[in-house]
Amino acid sequence: MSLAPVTLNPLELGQRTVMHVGAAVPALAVAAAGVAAAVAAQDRLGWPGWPIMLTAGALALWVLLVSPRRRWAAWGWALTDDELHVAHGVWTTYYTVVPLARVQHIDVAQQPVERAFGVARLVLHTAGTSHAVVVLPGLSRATAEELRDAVRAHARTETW
Amino acid sequence: MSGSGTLEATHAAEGGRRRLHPASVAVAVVRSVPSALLAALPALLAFGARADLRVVLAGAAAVVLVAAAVRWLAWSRFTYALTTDAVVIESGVLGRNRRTIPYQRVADVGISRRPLQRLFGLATVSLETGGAGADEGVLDSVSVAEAQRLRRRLRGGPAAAARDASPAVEAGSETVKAPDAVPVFAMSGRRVLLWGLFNFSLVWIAVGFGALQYLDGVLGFDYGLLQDAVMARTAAARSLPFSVAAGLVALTLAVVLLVGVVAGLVRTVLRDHGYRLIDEGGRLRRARGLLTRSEAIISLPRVQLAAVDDGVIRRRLGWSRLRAQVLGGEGADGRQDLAPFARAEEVDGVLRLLRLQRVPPGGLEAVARGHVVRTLLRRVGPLALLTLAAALATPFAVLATPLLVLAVGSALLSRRHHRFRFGSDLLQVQRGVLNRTTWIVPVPRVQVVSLRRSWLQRRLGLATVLIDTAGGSRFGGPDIEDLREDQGWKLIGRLWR
Repeated sequence: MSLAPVTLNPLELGQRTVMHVGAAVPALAVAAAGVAAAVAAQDRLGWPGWPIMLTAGALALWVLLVSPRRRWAAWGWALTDDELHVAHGVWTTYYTVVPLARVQHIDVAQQPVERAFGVARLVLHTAGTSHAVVVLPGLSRATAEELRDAVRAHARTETW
Repeated sequence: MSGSGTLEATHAAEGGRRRLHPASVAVAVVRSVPSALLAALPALLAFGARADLRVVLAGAAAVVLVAAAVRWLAWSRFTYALTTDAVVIESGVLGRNRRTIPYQRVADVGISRRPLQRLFGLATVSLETGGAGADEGVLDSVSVAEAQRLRRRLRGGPAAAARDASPAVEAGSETVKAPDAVPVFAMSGRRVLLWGLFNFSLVWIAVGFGALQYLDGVLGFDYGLLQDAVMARTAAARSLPFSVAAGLVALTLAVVLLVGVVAGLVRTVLRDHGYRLIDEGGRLRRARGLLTRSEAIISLPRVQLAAVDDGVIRRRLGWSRLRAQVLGGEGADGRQDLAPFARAEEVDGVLRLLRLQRVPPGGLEAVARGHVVRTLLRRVGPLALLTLAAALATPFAVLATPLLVLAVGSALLSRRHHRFRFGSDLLQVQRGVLNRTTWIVPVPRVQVVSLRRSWLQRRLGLATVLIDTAGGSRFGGPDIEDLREDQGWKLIGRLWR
């Protein structure tokens, strides 16, 4: 991100926990699939089951522990005078710039897990087509509301 | 709700937070009965015959009660408020959402009343903004008096006025021209016929280079059926002597081509006969059609961008097509024909009317060399694998080789044809080898801009700039693929400066 036009703020640490929690189900699914495959391999083909189980276990741990951290670290945001910059993505990275004057309406949303760890999501809706909705998760409630008010102030001063 | 206090604290709400009309719970429950019954039908059929009627009724009552409880919970967690500068809608039973719609952005306030609502004296208020979604803010339901109060409050505000006076494509001096009956663009009967022939040419290209077209992402029509038909014929012909089979194939092709010509001509004449585009000062009036004469008004302030496209033959002969992407246009896809079959100077003339101008391809900058690499990998790679796999099954797969050669050729030429120019207030992007499109986008019309870098792109030092505009189709926008990374950063960093 050295070429990024502004330095970005990281997400709240609470969001990392939220991402770990969100990864629990996929991780369990991977582990379960691994166990099932291992049992099937042992019973039907007579192959040893433990290598499959080990691989699946490692994969599940990666999904649960490593991947969310990487995704969390890839997120970043910054508010300039009249734009919101949002970066995310591990394998394919995105860096999005939304002019505040283009925002049509704003959501501040909180799922139960997010509330438990003290973070909120800011959702900006623009009039665009394929990337009309820009989501920024992992903000503290106060920051989310600050950002919302900044956008709101722009909507008041600028006619579309 | 932990943060609910801040609403009143930071913004003096007019009349505070309000709930929907309590009767809306009843309306919602009654409304959900038919679908609930339908869902419960299998259970009813299974047990209804055996079980006691009282048990069935008790079960139904329980279902209704649970539905009512859920609706009531949703109702109790839904509030709205008119603050000093925005409508704030809070909703959600488990996950909470607080939507803020600034008054400036409210474009329309709709009030609708369905039969059930009339019974209770209720109305649904829907707030529309310029957002991409359909219903940005729905209050289902409030009392009729409240609905009218909301409409008065929101309509009288600056929103409607601001929208009506929204700046033209290029903001500034809006000189209203006198209505001019002389069309700025018109097509003679001969030209419409010629245009019809080119509509056929698309079909012809599709039959020949179907797969290539598919990969090029320029699906203008459905030629899958055509391909299936050809496939079926060839399969049946395999048991015949070669000469007969070849003759049959040639005959089929000839018939298909003829049908293509006639269909293209008929369709084009029906649609575009007597095409006239008239400048009415601030808006364009388009009239066309043979049997059904259709008229459309294209309001210039609503034009988001212009797109000029041409096929390989049309380009050689100097014809191209000009379309405008219109916000909330009369057309389904927002793309409106301005000049379907025009000479370059005619296109430039209409563009001037839109206060846009284009730069010839020579004045544009090509994307990075890595674009060829990525195009080869993305377009030729899958095709080559497919051919290889098919070759294992049948030697006829060799017939796909010319297609492969074409794909490679197209990939090699892709960089030559993918060019862009980032001016002070206009962005011009050109893409496509066979079917080439040039987008001319006023920078103020860009809604969101993103820089996308895949794993491979980062290795190659490339980036794709995604340019999102209003009223466009989901695929095929003025995106710039594979420009140099530093150029990409520069572009998105100072697009609006």
